[in-house]
Amino acid sequence: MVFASLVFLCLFLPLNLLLYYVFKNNIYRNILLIVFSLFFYAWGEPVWVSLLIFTTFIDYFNAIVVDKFRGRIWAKVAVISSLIFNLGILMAFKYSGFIYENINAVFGTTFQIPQFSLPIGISFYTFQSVSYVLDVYRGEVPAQKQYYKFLLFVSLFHQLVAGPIVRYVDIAAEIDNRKIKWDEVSQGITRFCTGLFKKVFFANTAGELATKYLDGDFSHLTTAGAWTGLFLFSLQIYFDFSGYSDMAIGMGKMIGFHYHENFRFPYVSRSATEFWRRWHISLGSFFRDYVYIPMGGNQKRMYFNLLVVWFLTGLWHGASWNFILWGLYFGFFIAIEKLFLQKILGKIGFLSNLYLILVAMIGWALFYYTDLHRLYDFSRILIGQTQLQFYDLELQITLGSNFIWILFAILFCMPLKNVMQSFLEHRSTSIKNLAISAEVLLNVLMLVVSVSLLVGKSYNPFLYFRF
Amino acid sequence: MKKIPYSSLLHYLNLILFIGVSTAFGVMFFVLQKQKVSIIEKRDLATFPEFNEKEMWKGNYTRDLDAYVADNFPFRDDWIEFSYFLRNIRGWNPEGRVKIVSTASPEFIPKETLKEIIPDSAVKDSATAHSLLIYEGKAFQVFGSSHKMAAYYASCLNTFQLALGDSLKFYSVVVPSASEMSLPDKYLKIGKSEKANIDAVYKNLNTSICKADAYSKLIEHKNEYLYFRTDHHWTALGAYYAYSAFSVCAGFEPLLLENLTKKSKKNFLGTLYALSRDPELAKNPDVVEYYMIPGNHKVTVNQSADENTWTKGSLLAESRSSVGTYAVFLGSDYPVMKIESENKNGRRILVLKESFGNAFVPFMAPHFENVYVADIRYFKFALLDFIQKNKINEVLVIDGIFMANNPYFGSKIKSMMYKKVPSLQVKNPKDSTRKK
Repeated sequence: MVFASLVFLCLFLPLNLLLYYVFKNNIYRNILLIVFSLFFYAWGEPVWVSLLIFTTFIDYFNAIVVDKFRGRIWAKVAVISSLIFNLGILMAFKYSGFIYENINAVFGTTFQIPQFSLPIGISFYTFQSVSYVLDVYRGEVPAQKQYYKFLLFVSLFHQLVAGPIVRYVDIAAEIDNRKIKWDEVSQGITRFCTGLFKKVFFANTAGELATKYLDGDFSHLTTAGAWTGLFLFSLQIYFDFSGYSDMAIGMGKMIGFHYHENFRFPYVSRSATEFWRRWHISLGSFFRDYVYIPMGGNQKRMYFNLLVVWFLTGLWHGASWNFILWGLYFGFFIAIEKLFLQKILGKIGFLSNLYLILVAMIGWALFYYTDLHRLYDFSRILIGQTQLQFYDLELQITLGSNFIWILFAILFCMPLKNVMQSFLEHRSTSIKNLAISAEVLLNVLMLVVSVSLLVGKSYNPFLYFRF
Repeated sequence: MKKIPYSSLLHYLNLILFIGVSTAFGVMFFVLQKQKVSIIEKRDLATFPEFNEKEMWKGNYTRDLDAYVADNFPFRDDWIEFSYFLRNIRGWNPEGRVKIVSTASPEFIPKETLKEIIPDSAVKDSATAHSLLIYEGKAFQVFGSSHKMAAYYASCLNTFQLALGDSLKFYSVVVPSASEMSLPDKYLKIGKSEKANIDAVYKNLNTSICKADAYSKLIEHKNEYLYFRTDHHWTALGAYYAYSAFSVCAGFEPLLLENLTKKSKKNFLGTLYALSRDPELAKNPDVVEYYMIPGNHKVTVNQSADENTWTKGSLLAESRSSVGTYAVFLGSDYPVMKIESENKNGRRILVLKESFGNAFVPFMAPHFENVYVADIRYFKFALLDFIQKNKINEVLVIDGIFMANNPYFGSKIKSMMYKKVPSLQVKNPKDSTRKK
């Protein structure tokens, strides 16, 4: 199931919340969440829900072994078994096709390329599970003795399919004991509605507009059209991904879980380094804590460590060379920023923001085209290597007919809410209440707009059908 | 009693509204009566999927459930209306009143099937219209096909013609869309030239096929009401000019318009309105005009699998409930229709058409002893066999330019020459957005 669907919004979620608030006992509430989560996952992945459960079993035992044999060889064995198991299933399901393809290409072999469908969310939940075992090994948190609580942590539908990658340490206490505070529930609702709106109103629309430029016939694509396509995709991927994170964080708050922020307005960054502190934070910190720092971080072989981390970061996003390129591309900019660029960027004010936006947008081209030939053709158009004029009438009309939407989209990339909050800080209670009232109304509006656009998606008039 | 602060009340209100609104629609979904058909979309709405274990494991059952909920959502029509209102206020149009609407129109045939038909990169160029241009209250489909598609269509017709042999007369009409009749040059540049495409079809056709120059005839009268503003079809008047171009090929004296009684039905909002829901279009609905054809015609249709089962039909379905739409012409897209006239001249023609043919066929009726009208999509019999059995001695293939450039039509003609081929089934598209 996906959050931005009518079944989820009007049946699954309200039922889940109502039952949750009716039960007072924490054990019942946890069981309720597990039942809903497994149902949620099985809706989209009826077969591989078994893999999810199997993974949790393995790591549940691994962590217990680690805890019990702390300091002894068995603890190490359990950690390694967890790593092998989790990375193994990732490898099998996500990367085996890619590996075979490359082996075939390099050695001229003809291995049958396995045709697995990628189980939804596998990249997220394997990372959550493995980070848990590692944290237990490092003594940061005791192993969870009760299996169902660990299953709850991994399978919780809020973050199961699209992140954020939640660390067990961060919510261990809340699994056992959490309080519902109504003002937080209300904040959670606001957050959820915002995320839903970002996904449905911005990301879906941007996607619909972007494909025309990015997936179309390149012989008709102007340079301005190519940049517009990239711009729209930059909006799409940000609103899509951060919208999902907002919804997860919001739903967490509705029932007393506190997840860390996953996006902090990445497009206002002024360097690639800063961008990655604001973009998909839970992934960046995962690689920082479990790869970069253990390898020596800034202290030894920094550039080699950067290379490895960014190779892996790229690869995590998908089993294809373009993702690896994309990761290394950011690694490169982060490295040169460390070398000298950061000093310059610090001095040129908002131009550094333009630098980052350019870097990020070109990065999205690497990210978008899994077909490297198409990427090459597209890049040529981006730098003006085309016979066509710079822009055409079609682009002009399309931009015109979406002008207001584009302005709103750009505004929504900025930390408006923070500005609003600092504005309200020293105001009177009545002004604050007025702001909350506005927020309540806005939530209803965002919900209604989202539902209408979701229903609108099912609208498919037939041109060629019998009348 | 302690007074609850106002801000807390607002927090409760937020919760109540959120859960209230979403639950209300969830409950109404179960309680309210469901529509079965969506008239404006011309399709059946999704029904409750039948449980099937195999499909369930593939994830198709839940996908069907999703589609069922979306298609039967409470007050669906109003939500859609609102969503199109939102679409239409996304910007303004600096170029006067011109607007481009990308349509969420489903793939007519799945890409995989297309690839089977022509294993070629040309698939990407196939001419399903993905955007509409709205200009001065009229909607136009942007034509974007390549000459490869034109050549493919011609090759299919050639194959068919060769199989028939030169003893049968064979005619082809490719009907342009409204664009080149009404759009200023600068907007035409957004798409590709239809004239050049039609020329490419005709150039590739066998010399023994007579090509009716409908295009020139239509251009001559381009300021008249030849195409609907809100629908992708042409009007009876547009069809009339093409018919007069066809008469040159077929060698008969066309009926004169001034001798025909004209009737009309008002307030027609057609497919292009349905696709765009553009308020400019809604302000100025179309009028469906139709001409009464002189003489008595016996019209029957065959919708069955048996070649001898014919039921009553009509040239103009004036009394149908869907009158006021393009369906007035021939009544519907029947798999095959037979028109017998009083003119016993021994001319028996088969018209292979899609819906563009419907407005055209009534004019033909008086000139032939029999007119058989077969819809390329739904015709159920083996074509050559059918032609032989009914002693047909002339064949006309008439297609709108978008259909002629859609490889489905050419390939369907070719494949049904010798054998029965199942008729077109359009399935509702599924939402396949999944997160990994």
